[in-house]
Amino acid sequence: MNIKNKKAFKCKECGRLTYPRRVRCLQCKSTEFEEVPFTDEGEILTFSQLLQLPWGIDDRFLTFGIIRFDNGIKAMGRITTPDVSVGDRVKASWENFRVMAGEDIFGWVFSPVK
Amino acid sequence: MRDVAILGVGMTPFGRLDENDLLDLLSSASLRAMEDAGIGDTLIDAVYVANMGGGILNHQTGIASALVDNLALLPAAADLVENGPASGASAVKNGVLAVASGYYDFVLVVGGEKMRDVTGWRATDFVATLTHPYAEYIYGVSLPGMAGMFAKLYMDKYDIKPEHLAMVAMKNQENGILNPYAHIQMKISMEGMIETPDSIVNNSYVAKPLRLFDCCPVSDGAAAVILCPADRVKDFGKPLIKVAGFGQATDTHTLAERDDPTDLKAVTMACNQAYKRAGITAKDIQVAELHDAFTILEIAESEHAGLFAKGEAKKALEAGETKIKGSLPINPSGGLKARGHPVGATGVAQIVDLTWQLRGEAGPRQVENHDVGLTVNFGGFGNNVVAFVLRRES
Repeated sequence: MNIKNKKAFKCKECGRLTYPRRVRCLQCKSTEFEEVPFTDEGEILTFSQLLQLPWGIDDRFLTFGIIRFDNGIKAMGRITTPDVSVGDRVKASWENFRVMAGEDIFGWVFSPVK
Repeated sequence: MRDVAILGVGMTPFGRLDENDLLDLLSSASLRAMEDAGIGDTLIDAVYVANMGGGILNHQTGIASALVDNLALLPAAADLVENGPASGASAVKNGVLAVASGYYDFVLVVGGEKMRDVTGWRATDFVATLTHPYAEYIYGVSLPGMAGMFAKLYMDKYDIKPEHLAMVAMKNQENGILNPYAHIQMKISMEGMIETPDSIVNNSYVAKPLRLFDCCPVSDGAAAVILCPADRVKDFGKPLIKVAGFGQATDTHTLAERDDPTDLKAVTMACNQAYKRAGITAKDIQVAELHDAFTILEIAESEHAGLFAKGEAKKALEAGETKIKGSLPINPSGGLKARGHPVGATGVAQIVDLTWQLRGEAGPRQVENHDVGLTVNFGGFGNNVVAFVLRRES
């Protein structure tokens, strides 16, 4: 799950970026992709602080959002603080942030750039 | 293709129905629709059941087979349709196509959900399973969370204030008081919801900027319709309510992949297909049942359906145009906000409510002009949307 999740792709035909993986390009329908590395930082496109949490989350609240990495890839992830705004710069880190059914779950955790 | 009509409708009250299991609810709504249609059960050729969570919430699968057995409709064809929160309208669509094609004449479509078998936290987690498993679900995002991220952008873009969201909640809960089937039967005030000491207790944040009263309740309930060829309706002495058109469109699974996350493209496309098939435009819609799982969605869907220009729905709210007595009533049933949202039932319930409106049988919540109406059933977070246009004909 984790290895599959960490990779972003660029269509070899039209260059459209896609995350997570898909079998055909949404734009040109090609099935040929190349892996694209994530950049270290990005900006917040939108976010929400959730105060009524689904089953399986032990925190009192959590903040998540959609981030556009500097190379254009967009991804959802946790944000370390609710004190952020749309457009804020964040640093991205791939972390073990949760355990589900005994399994360590890795994913994106974003923190404001000081 | 044959014209298809809605011959009979029925539903259970929505709410926390501890005495009934999922099969009870589906059966009860089905019997009410059959009674309303006035048909003998031997006429029913096929049954489509809309349900999203029987396997997860109620530990029961194969629910369509169980239902035809319980209703003594054997050997009618029976299928389950699962399309997230749009399961209901998807099932009706399948029924309409089956009748339109000429393959079946009389079809029962019933949608139901028994969500209160589990805690609210479990129900929230269950609905969240429709998000992307690796790119969204693992982060703990819920549907209120998705709606919160959408609301933040949409409110900023069109200068929508928390008071506008509260106006939707107040309107729909007022309508719900007039609907004996509604889950929430409670009048609320602006003072109780926004910027007062009371509001901090009464209306706490769920997923910022959305608060408790911006969210629909978690409900049990079921709703059913009987479909038949339009030229058979006169045999039963019922009003002719035609399925004038439907549309369905999909969008990306993840919210992040949309070029513009404030653009609910699938709503626009589904509605435009439905209008085109019905030979009308959005201007011809006189009453609408929209999928207000969150107050922001009633505003955004009414704009994406073309009922108002982008950014104009808030003005219609301020002027009271979308109230029952307004020029374009939206959710006179109370919507998901007050009627409740048993996810598999909702799309069918919208069509049941609209049928009552078009027949002139909606009692104290009856709207004045009721020849043509719209339903929008919003699946996922806008990644699968089904719209219907119903028309009353003589």
